[in-house]
Amino acid sequence: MATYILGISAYFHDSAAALIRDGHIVAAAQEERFTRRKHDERFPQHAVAYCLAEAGITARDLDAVVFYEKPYVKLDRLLETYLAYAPDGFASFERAIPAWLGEKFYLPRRIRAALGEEFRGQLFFTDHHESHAASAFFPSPYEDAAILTLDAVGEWSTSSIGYGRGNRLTLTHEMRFPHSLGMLYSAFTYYAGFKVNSGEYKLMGLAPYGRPVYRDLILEKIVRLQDDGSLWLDMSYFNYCQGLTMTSEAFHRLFGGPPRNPESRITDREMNIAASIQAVCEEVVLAAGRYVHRQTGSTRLVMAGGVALNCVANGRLLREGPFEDIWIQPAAGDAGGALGAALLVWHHLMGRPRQPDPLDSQQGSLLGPRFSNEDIGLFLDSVGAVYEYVPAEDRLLDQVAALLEQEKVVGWFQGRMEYGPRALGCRSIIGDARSPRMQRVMNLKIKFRESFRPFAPCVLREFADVIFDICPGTDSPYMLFVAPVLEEWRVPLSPEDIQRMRDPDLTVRVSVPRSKLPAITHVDYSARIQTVDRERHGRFYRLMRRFYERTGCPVIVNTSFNIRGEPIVCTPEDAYRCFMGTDIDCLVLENYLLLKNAQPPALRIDAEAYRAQFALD
Amino acid sequence: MITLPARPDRNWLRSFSVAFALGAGLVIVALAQLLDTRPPLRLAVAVTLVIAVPGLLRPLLMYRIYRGWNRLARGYARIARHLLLRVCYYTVFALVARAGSALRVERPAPGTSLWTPRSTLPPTTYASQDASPTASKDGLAGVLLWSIRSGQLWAIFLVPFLALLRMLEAEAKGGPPADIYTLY
Repeated sequence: MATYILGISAYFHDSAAALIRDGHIVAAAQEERFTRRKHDERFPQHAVAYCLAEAGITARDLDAVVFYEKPYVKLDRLLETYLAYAPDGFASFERAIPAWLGEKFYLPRRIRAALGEEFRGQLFFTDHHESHAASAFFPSPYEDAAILTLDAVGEWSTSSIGYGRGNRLTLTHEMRFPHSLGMLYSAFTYYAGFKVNSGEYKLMGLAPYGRPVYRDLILEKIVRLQDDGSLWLDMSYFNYCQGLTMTSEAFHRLFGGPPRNPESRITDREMNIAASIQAVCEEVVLAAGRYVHRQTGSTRLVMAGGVALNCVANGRLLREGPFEDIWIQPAAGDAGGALGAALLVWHHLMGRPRQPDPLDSQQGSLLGPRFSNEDIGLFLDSVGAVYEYVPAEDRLLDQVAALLEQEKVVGWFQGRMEYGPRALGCRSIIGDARSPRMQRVMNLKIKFRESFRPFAPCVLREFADVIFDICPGTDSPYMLFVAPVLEEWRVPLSPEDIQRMRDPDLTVRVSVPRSKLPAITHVDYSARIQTVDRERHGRFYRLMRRFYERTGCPVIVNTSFNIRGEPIVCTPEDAYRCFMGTDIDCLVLENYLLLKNAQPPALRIDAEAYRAQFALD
Repeated sequence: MITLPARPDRNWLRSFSVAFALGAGLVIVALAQLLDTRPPLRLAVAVTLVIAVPGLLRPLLMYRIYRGWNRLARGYARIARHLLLRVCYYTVFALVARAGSALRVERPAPGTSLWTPRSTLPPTTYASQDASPTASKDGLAGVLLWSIRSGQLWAIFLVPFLALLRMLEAEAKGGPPADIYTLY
């Protein structure tokens, strides 16, 4: 009889559920995709229901449910933090304790209640960073590897290092709260006017516009960085332990003013701040990587934790660090903790062996719901959408490749939804990377977001090293590494372009083409690449191949299928709504092809009204 | 515990009618006792019936009173919670803080690594919500057990506050705040 273990992460941010059967990942999904509330932190009721349905079981069949952290160890840290600052810190205390009481006080009871009386299995709690480490090592393709987790904070740990071998992982060292690379990065995210815990990737995207002029100041005043990548933060510059903001007045004085107001204009100061903290972050990641290499002697590294989503730092670690290969959990943030917790119970508690898959066991991170052509057809008929059903894949791919070649923006919905923050070709908006207008159109008319941010390229794996500065055969299927575009693809800047690159308006700067693939090339010639291969990506690979055969270009633009503030679409309904509320030209739902200009005008959704449904992130 | 669901069904309203009616009757009796007069039992029964019977038969009639009660209860809970937390923080925490904290914020000696040794938790701890090898409880018993097992004995003083706070119930928040990385 099969053993089913359900992992859960919840009550912090990005709640999720993951189900494994005899150690094999059956399903995993984030709750936000179902509730349509970005970073939903509530109990992942819908994600759990989906996981059980995908496996064809009920809660009665679950052998164990695992929560991804230890609530009482977290309480210990919380209380010790207030002890360190009392009698200051009441405002934060007043918020934290009722929230902890509301969510964690009766946690086992709440989990059992949510699963229903049917659930008779055991309930477990694993350590936050061990859950991260397990999510990185166990699905990786390696028999043994060094482990590095870089996060904001779990219970007490903020980062940890160790090694994994076979079905065991061992964490040997940790950095402890409040000294945290994730917190440091989040503090600068807040200071630059972006939302904490969701705007960090915007700060990373902003960094190439600035110069790291504050790097030395940060390392001199705020951060003491050791050669081994460990860091100490001068807490007089921060307010997150005892206050309701990330940074203190001393921090604001140091950088010459208060934090930028969200949605206000981004100035050189924010760009330089972003470049500086990004430079520091990369130094920490490189130093920590070298340290864990010295400690373990391993030439392979696995990573997880929120900071492991910093693909610029990851790219540098891969290029300049001591490792031959790096594997990063695609759901590196807390959502991935659900998977790690379940795998930890399977391998550590139950002692079951592990057989690494040469590709990895993450299955392309395509672990969410899929919808059949029948379901989609029923839905489209119910709303009166106009579509063409194209049963032959060859013809469908021909049509879509032709539309891409005509610079159309395509909503691409096929197969199982991605687990993790990136759209990897199953819930994606795609376009022609060669088009000079693509970035602008996608940013302003479809994503409705700040236009300084680059789009990611999907590249056929066999061509990745022809366009980007990476080793031949490098795999980056999860869009977690940034690499420079090779010199021969870059275009020189004219004197007018150089002038435009000094424009205070970032929308002007970003419109200056940097390469023959302008839609995916950032201002520093970098790109966040996703390699696409036949084994993992199936139809998406075949589409790209068809596009390449037509155009000679093995690259397309890939961005997540959503608008700003909206979780990535999950169902055909979500996808159709997004299609009708934006300027996406065509929508492909499995074998159904829909053209925007063929849709009945009555079904058109007002863009303003559509945007208003989602809080800005 | 003193606040009621914002969207009650009919049964909730019926239960509320009965409880409210009984409460009103008791208040009349108590007031008479306070004023040293003979308790007007007939009046108390009449008031109880006047409130309870229509409430049981036509529960929607009680909806306005129900909402009013909830508004008052929420206001009271908010103020009481604030005061309770204040007392807890400025007495228990301020006093215990004098003994120091495990949080290390002071500047380390030059060259000191901030990597501290740790071990991987044995699987025997997985049944527990803390790092101990025996299964833990939840609720107040859980806090008590944890404070003993972890050596945080001072946290026992938090238990009465936590019990009272539970009665006042935490307000549902609309998600984590945007300006700070939540630490809980």
